[in-house]
Amino acid sequence: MPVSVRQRRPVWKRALTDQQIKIAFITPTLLLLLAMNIFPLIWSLYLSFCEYYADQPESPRWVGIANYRALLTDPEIWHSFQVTAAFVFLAVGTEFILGFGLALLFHRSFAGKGLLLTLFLIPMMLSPVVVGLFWKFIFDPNWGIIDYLLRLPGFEWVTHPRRALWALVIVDAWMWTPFIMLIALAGLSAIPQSLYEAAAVDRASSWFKFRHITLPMVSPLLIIALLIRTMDAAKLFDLPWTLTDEGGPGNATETVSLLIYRLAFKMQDTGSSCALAYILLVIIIALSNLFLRQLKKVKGEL
Amino acid sequence: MSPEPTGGTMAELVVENIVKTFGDVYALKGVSFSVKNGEFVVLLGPSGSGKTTALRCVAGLEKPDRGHIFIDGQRVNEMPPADRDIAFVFQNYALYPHLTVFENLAFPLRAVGTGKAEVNERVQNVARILHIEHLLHRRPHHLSSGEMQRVALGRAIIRRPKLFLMDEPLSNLDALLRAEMRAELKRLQKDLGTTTLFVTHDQLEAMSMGDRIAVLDQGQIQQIGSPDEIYHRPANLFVASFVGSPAMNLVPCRLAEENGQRRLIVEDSNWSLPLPPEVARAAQEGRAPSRLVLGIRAEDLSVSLSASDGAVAAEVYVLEPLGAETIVNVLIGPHVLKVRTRPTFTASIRQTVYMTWNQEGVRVFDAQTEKALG
Repeated sequence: MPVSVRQRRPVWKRALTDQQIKIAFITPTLLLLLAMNIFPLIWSLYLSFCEYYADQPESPRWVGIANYRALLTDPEIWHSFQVTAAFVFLAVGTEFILGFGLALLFHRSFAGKGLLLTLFLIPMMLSPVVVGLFWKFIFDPNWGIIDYLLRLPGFEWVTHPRRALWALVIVDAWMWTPFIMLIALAGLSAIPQSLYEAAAVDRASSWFKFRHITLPMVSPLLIIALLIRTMDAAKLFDLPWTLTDEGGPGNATETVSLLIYRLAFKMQDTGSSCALAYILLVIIIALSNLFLRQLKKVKGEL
Repeated sequence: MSPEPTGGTMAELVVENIVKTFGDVYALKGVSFSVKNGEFVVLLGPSGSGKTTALRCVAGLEKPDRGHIFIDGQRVNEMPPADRDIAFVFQNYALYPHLTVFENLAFPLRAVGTGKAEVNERVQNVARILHIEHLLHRRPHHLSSGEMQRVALGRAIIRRPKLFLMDEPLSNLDALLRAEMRAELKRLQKDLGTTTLFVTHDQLEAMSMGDRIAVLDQGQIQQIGSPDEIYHRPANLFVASFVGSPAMNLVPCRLAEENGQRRLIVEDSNWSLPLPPEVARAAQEGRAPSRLVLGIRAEDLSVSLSASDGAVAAEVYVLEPLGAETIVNVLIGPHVLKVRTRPTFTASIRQTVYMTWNQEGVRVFDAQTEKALG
């Protein structure tokens, strides 16, 4: 009986099997992923081995590893990598120290904690482009508030070849320290109070508790936070785009991402830009693997 | 566990009238008890009775609002836990998840900078006592709850503290293992001779392990005594109904004159009993309350299929065969009484049986104050 009832219904009213429902849900995502991610990834890998200018009528011409060879011997590229590496190290390092420190301070109850925490999280919620723009005003040598407060009229930040990188680090740390703090705070709250009580009964000093309970138990989350920040910082684009006017002064703050953009859309050298993007990708993958190995180690899986 | 003279120092604990509030909730309303040198005292009470709070006050993890705690005659209220020379076994064991069993056991020693060789020797020694030598290199999440429990115990005894404080250490074990660990833990405590305060909600644990039991309810001590006293002479209705399995039968009754003799009459029933001496005395002195509660243990009642002199007719409500014994539930008037019988006893529901009782086992409580008479 149920079979015939089902067959009399119009097609669109018939119940779907579990399998059909699975397919119906997965297909749109899969198609979108293919079109927007997988295909460009493979296509750009192909282009990185070709001579190709997107604004020229000629179709891509296979040149093997010529693009890679040219890039890796170009001092300008090395400069970009140095800028990016310095930025990643300084920014993520600062964010880590401040973020973890703040998390330790916030990991107790005090009046106004909720409000203060919310205020601390605001920078993270802003758009990097907006942040870059208003920090540019803040750093302005003529009427910026920083120079006014420091009583250093005319002191250059974003327009100074060395200090421009520090300006980027300061703004990035301002923006992303709360992120590390938030994750570290989550890790700290997850440590059962009874472990500290057991340690207190067992006569452990504060430092011993921090070293042997807090640090090892929060370190998996800290590593994940560092991993996310490192990957993100290595791709830095929007902040120097606005804050230091597309990597200035000169190319003092031209990160690898900015350089890829310049190659691809200003010089229309599509082949080279694809190759550089792939070099950056490999470096980021290698870096994240270092973090993931460390993560496995602290979790006792290695 | 083999006897192992670890030479743990002994201590005496005295708790005097401690009061502890959380906000406007009174967790402890003036609790006093003591634990003598080498004694095993159990704090027994239902959840929310304040027993864990009392234990945590002794440990220094909570600070009592009022009252005094003395360890070896020294007032320790203001002393941090580390200076009290105690070991605490937590209900959830509180093992350090990122450390191996060896490192967990070594933690209390390393925390005070004990030398490597001594740490090694003492860890091995404790592991041998507790039969966990094969687990030393594992981490806690690879252990069964029974193994974790042993490690937690090990971390307590490795210190050779003055005082063991245990917060329901057996409650996370399955029933079989719990029964086994009860005996092992009791023997270990006797071998080590360490003064122990043990918290539990399980009256069977309290009965089987404690030298003395302090029954706690609603932040107040209800009775302190040996397991035997607690079981046979409960001080009030709470203790009577909380301790023992099955709990003491409690039925409302009153004093009445019968054939010129004062007797106890169970309300709404045909059951009347002679007065126990303490009730007779109270009645003579005119201080017997009007509303009473009769208490009698299941083993002080017996049933028979045939009528006998002095037996009360009762109706079988249901039978609970437990293997070694059978609990017969009988109706006396509207009251259900549990009667312990031999396992061979059989009867059908609603059958009439004849109940007799051991007059020695009769306890009488004031229904108003809930306290035992006498």
